[in-house]
Amino acid sequence: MQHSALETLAVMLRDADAEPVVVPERIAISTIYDLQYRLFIVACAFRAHAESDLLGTRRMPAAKLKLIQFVAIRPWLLQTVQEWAETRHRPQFQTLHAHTLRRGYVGDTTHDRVIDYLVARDILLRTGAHIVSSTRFSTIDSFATAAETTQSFVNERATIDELREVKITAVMLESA
Amino acid sequence: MIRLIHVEVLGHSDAGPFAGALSFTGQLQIVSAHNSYGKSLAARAIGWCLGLEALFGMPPNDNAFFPLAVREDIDFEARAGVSVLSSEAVLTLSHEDGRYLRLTRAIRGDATTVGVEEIDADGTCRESKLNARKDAMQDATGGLQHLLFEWIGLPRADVATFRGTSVDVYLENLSALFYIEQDEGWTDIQARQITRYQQQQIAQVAVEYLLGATDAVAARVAQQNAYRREAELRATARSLADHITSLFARHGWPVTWPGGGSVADIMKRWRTVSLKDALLAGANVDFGAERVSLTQHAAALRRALTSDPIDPMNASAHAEASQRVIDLKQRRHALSDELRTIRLQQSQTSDLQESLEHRIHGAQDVLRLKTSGVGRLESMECPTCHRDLEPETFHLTEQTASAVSAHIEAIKRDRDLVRRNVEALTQRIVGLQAELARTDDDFRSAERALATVTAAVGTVREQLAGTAANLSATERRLDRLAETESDVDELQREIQAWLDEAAGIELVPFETADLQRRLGAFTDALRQYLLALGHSAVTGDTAALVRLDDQYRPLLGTRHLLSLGSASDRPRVIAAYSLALAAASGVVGGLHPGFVILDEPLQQNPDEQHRDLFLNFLSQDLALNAAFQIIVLTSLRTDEVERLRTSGVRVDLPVGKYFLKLGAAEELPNAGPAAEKTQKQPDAD
Repeated sequence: MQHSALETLAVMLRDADAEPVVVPERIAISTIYDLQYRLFIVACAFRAHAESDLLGTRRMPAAKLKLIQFVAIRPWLLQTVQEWAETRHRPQFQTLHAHTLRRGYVGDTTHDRVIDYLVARDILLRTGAHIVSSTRFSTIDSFATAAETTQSFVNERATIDELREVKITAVMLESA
Repeated sequence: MIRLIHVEVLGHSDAGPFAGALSFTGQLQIVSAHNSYGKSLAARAIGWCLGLEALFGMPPNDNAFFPLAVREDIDFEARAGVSVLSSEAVLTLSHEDGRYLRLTRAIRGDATTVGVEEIDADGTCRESKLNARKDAMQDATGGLQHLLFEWIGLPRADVATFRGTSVDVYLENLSALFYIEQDEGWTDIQARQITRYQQQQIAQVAVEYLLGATDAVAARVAQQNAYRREAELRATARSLADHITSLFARHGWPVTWPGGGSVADIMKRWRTVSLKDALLAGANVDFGAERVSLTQHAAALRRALTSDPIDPMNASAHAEASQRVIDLKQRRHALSDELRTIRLQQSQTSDLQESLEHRIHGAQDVLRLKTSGVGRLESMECPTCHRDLEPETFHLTEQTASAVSAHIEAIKRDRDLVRRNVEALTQRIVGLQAELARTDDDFRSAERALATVTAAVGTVREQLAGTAANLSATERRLDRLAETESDVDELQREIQAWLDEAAGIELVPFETADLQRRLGAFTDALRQYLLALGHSAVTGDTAALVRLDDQYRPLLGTRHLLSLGSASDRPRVIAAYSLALAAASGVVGGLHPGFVILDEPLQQNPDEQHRDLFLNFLSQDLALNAAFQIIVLTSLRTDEVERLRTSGVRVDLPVGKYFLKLGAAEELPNAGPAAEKTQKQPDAD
């Protein structure tokens, strides 16, 4: 898909008398599409934000997880989320704020596929609007432990921690 | 060369006077006594008298490395727990030319000074009291180190420090190579080298000095100073170039003045082009032409104001002044707009740079975890369809380590590009701010001129007021031009001063022939001693592979000798290194003092084979007939003592349970004939 988009761009440039050099094999795909990276981020976000019930099952709203992991991967959006959350006392501004952010995280289909994959592996469960830990949850939880012990993804984890101080409202999540 | 003759510890206690002494008479002397006898106390007394407490990690004049026996309470054979009232160490040395030196330093008492008796070959004795540590080398009359270097006949040598200064090589730097003490001396070559004076490459300097390669030491120091000076010049050049580029940016001249690279590169660049040449070529700035043009303009305005006829029908003065105000106002507005846009661009580009930094960190973590195998899910079968649950089924990808590496390289390139953009935008902002300030100034002047012209009555006065305002503005521009040119000239002078200074730096050629000869002798001796000591990795076949690296650490081929063989081979390497250095120094006429002290060489690895190999070494000609003094303090079994004595090795077995005994020094059984001889020398005076 990316290659064909590049080819299209190359054709357009040629039409404008430019001489583009396209070498698709040198294109390096961003790590934000890497499954392993996504698993680490989901694990860290779930550990920090999911709540436990009496039986030890951990759960959190699916939309909240989607927003948190989206911002964790892009820490520079943290301030936007904080400002967005501050508008909860002024509902008339809520739809005006952060529409690009909202469009971004709602369209994060890679995250949806990661959750599907984890559900298929019996690591997480979908129960209505919530994501719940399942039989093999310890597998993904060990990812969060590994990230902490190896001091990896420091920025991402710091962002996830800071988001605990942000009141994420239902309005913010309603479109997810 | 010097020899250790006698060491003594004596003092007074509640139970009366006490003393302990060891005499050293042979070239190779083994002092064997049971553990806790006090052998190391005697060895430390030697270091204490020579002012070597730093070798034991002690601050100046701190006696804490001595056992409590000589500082607080002492156990004698007949009575334990006796309080020490005073104690001191006495060391007697002899010089090959027949002179003697006796050093006395209090252990419990005033340790800041050392009593010195210099006894000439004819028996003349000169007594003095010298500072043990304070200015010990710098004070030519009162410093112990200065006296020791002079008495032994060692030249003083400077060594560069990391602070950019030079200090002397001290005896405590050299002693790490001939005084192997038992606590840490056996852990590494020069394990006790002193680094707290921040001397650069002191380990190499110490080896070169003991081998007598003083020219190499001087060349090394000169090179270090040259490198330091070069680094300082590079830093100065960078700072100067930043200053120049910033000045250019303030005037809106798109010219960079690079100050990176080596000193030679910078010299070549800065010599080729002057600042004014660069401004003319890069920004079409010609101070001379501009000055002529403005001067001519000012002269014309002055003529118009003072002597040229004035047309009373010309009513354009007010319109001209007004138009100038309007033009400057529009210019100011356009500059403000541009500045705002550039600031926004800079802010967004900085954000982009930050996000790229974040991406790089994240991707590097992913790469690290991928290469170390952390964070992988085991393959799993779907419980329903029994197919493997592959990520591809869910349109997910797991990137390879090489793909992540390629991504990191790509975003690093992006980051560098963005960083350059931020720098360029920052420079543009500086230029725009300066231009805005100048436009503001011109605008205020034009407003004042307009007010004056407006207030003037009649066309003639209007023209005169307008011309006067124009003349004033032109002269201000001339002043500004002169000021800027003066700044550029000043910077050009700084560049010239830098070039002159840089031209004065020359790297001293390192004369290697003499050094190589001395190192060759050292390497040969090292091979011999390693073979004689029985290092398990060095055999007749491999000995030729033993060599020294550029830091004079021993290698076998390409591998470090200290990391080869068994654990007991490490003390063998250290002993061989110290002994070979003393032997090689004798061969090449070096500056080694001529004695090596090995304190407890067997205690580190008391296994039977290690002991056997060491005793075997002591029985060989290499140790027995060494051209320098070897003193070994250890604990041998009776059969080992017999074995050594049968081979002709002198083994002293001090009598009694402890080194320190109640009684006066002259009553000691271990004093020996050498002690008597030197003790009689002062009487001859």
